[in-house]
Amino acid sequence: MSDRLRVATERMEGGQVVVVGGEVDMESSPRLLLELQRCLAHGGRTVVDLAGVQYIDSAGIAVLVEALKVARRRGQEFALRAPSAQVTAVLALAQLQQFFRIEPAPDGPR
Amino acid sequence: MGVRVYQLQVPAVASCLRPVRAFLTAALEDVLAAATPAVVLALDEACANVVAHRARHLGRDDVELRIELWPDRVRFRLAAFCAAADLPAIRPRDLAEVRAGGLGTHFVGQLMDRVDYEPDPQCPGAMALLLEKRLPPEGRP
Repeated sequence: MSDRLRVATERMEGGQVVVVGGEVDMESSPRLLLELQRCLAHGGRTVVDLAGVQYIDSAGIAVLVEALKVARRRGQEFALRAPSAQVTAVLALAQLQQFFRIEPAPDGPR
Repeated sequence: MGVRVYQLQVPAVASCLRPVRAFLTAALEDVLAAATPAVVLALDEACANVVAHRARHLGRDDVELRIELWPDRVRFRLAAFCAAADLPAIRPRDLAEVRAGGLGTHFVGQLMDRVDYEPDPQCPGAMALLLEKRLPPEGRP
C-alpha cells in the first residue's frame, strides 16, 4: 500500500513550493487545501510539486482547481510541477490540463 | 469456469476509502492487469459518493460492495448508492467549465463499460449502482 498524504512547503525566491506525496483523496484533500490556502495568503508564486503523488481522485483535483481559482482572483502565479503519471492521467481524464500551468521537474539536486 | 465473488462492507467514512482501494487492487490486479488503477479510481469515486451523501441513504451508514469476477468481465454492485429521488441529479459536470463538481461521476462514466442503477430491495427507496468492466480478450482465462 502506498503512503498517506505528505505535504511540505519550501520557500523559493518569489514564493513557495508545496511538495506533495502519497495519496490525495476525500480524506486527505482538506489538509492539502489548507496548506495551499496558507501559501496563497502569503502572496507570490505558488508551485505544487506532484512528482511524489501515488494517487489522486476527484477530491484532490477539486483542491487544485480551488487553489487555481483563488490564485487567479488574486492575480498570483500558480503552477503544477512534474505531476506523476497517475496525476497526469487523472488531469487528462478531467480534461483540465490546459487550465493549469504545468512545469517540468527542476534540474539538479533538490 | 465459475464466478468468483467478493463482498465488502465498511463504514461509510472517508478513512475507509484507502483500505477499500487496497482491497480492490489486490482483488482485481490478476484479472484486470493494466486496467486495475482506472477501475479502482472509478470504484473509489463511487464509494466516495456514498460517503459524501450517506445522510440521505435512508439511515444506512455503510458501504456495501459486491464484486463478481466473470470469465469475460468484472461486475460491481454498490448497495444503496443513492435515493431513487436523487437519480436525476446525478450527472457529470460540463467539461467546458473549470470546476470540480460532478467530476467523480464523469470519471465513473469514462472508466467503466457499463453504468446502471436498479432498485435496492434491501433498502426501500434507494438505488444500487451497477458497474461493469469487460476484460480484454488476451486477459481472459
